[in-house]
Amino acid sequence: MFELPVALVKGAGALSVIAAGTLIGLGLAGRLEEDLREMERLESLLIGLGTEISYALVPLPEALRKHGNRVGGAIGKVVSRIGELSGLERRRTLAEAASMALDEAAGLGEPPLLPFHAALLLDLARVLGTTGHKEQAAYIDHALASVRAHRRASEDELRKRARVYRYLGVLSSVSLVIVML
Amino acid sequence: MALAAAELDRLDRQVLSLFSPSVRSGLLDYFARRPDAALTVQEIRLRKGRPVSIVRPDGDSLIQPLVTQDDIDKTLSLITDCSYYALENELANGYITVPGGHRVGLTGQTAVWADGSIRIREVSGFCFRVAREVKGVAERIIRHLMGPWPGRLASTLIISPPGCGKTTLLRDLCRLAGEGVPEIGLRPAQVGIVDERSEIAACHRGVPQHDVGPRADVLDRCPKARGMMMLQRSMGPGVIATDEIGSEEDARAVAAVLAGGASVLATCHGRDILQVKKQPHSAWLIEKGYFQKAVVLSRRLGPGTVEYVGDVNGHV
Repeated sequence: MFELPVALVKGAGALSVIAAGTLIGLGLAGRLEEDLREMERLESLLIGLGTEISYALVPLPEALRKHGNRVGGAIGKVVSRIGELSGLERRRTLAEAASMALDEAAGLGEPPLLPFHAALLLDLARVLGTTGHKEQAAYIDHALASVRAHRRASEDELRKRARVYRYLGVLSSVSLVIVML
Repeated sequence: MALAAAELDRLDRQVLSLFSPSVRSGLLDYFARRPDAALTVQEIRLRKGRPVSIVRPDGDSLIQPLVTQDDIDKTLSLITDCSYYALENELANGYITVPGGHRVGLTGQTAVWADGSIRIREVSGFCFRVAREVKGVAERIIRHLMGPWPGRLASTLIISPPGCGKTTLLRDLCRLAGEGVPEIGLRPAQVGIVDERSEIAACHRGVPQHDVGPRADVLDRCPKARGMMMLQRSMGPGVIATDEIGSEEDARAVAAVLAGGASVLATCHGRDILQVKKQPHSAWLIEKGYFQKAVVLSRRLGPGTVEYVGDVNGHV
């Protein structure tokens, strides 16, 4: 029976280990970068909502659906769902719809929202739509400032960790190959 | 009994579902004990810290539970579609209209803004005025309102004291004017409605909640005089309808619209034509012949009792 040369098998194994390690590192780094993108989406969503409320006076459920779909990602899906579940037609307040949408997302195994984002959405759901447009604009500005501050505080850290995961994936797999050889 | 059940179902879908579960179940218990009340309820009033009040023509009933801040918040959120900011201008008038044409009045702590407008900052009470469409009330009198031109209605003034069904009759006339009535030779017309107080069409987001006919264009919450001119310029209506005319500005707008060729259907407060003729601007419109027909309503045999229908100068 034909036998593969030992060196070839070893080489293929080493490459597989390096590839797997690299992919794991890239995956972990990608998840951290996705968290950063989620923060950017939330910022963009709040800016859009602020415009709809202050200038266009669009009803909140409609504004949430529109901007949730526009920004996408986990945060966009949840926000769009809050828009679908809330309002006069559905006979649900925003707070009721927000906790329902978050529960639904958790139940469906969707990518989880960052805890900071989930808390911020629940807070906003309690106050959005309950006052005049000037007060609403102030709430949104305040939320936007806190999202920006949170992003600035965690951005460097997340980027560093992402880089570390990428290098760690490659280096640890190379180290493992050396030890195995 | 079946009628009461159907009315309760409508009331539940359109009004009771806007209340918190505790208030809604209290009201459903009440209507289960008194099924006939669903047919006659005129108002449902919520006041923070006090029992819910159900107003009927024969009096009112107070029912438990006491209304809480959460009950108020829930109802406010729903009637504003979670968008109080989008209705600020409407709320400055003290009421909004919800789907079904029901008018919701609000009370609470107010604030006077720099521009002089009044805003309700802390809502603490609601008055839901239950709307009921009475279709067909104009069918028995419309033949008497035909104008001198073939196929067209005469300009008509509907006169009555408050609560006698002026607006209900006007709404039904709009519907018939838009649909046409071939039996009496009334041709379908484009109908323009200037609904300053949202009572004729009861628009929610600009969409009429009452049946005002297939050819009706509505200017909701628009001042009457300016609205009539706008409609005439932009929509070319054959009939323009508006509620409660009385000021000089209204009279001039009616005259201008009539000169443009449209018929005007309007309501006016008063017991009879003689009393209306004592109001200077309405009298001017009648004396100049701008209105050819009049309908006088009373509550003598219940709301909508027709006391007179015919020529505006034929009644003494």
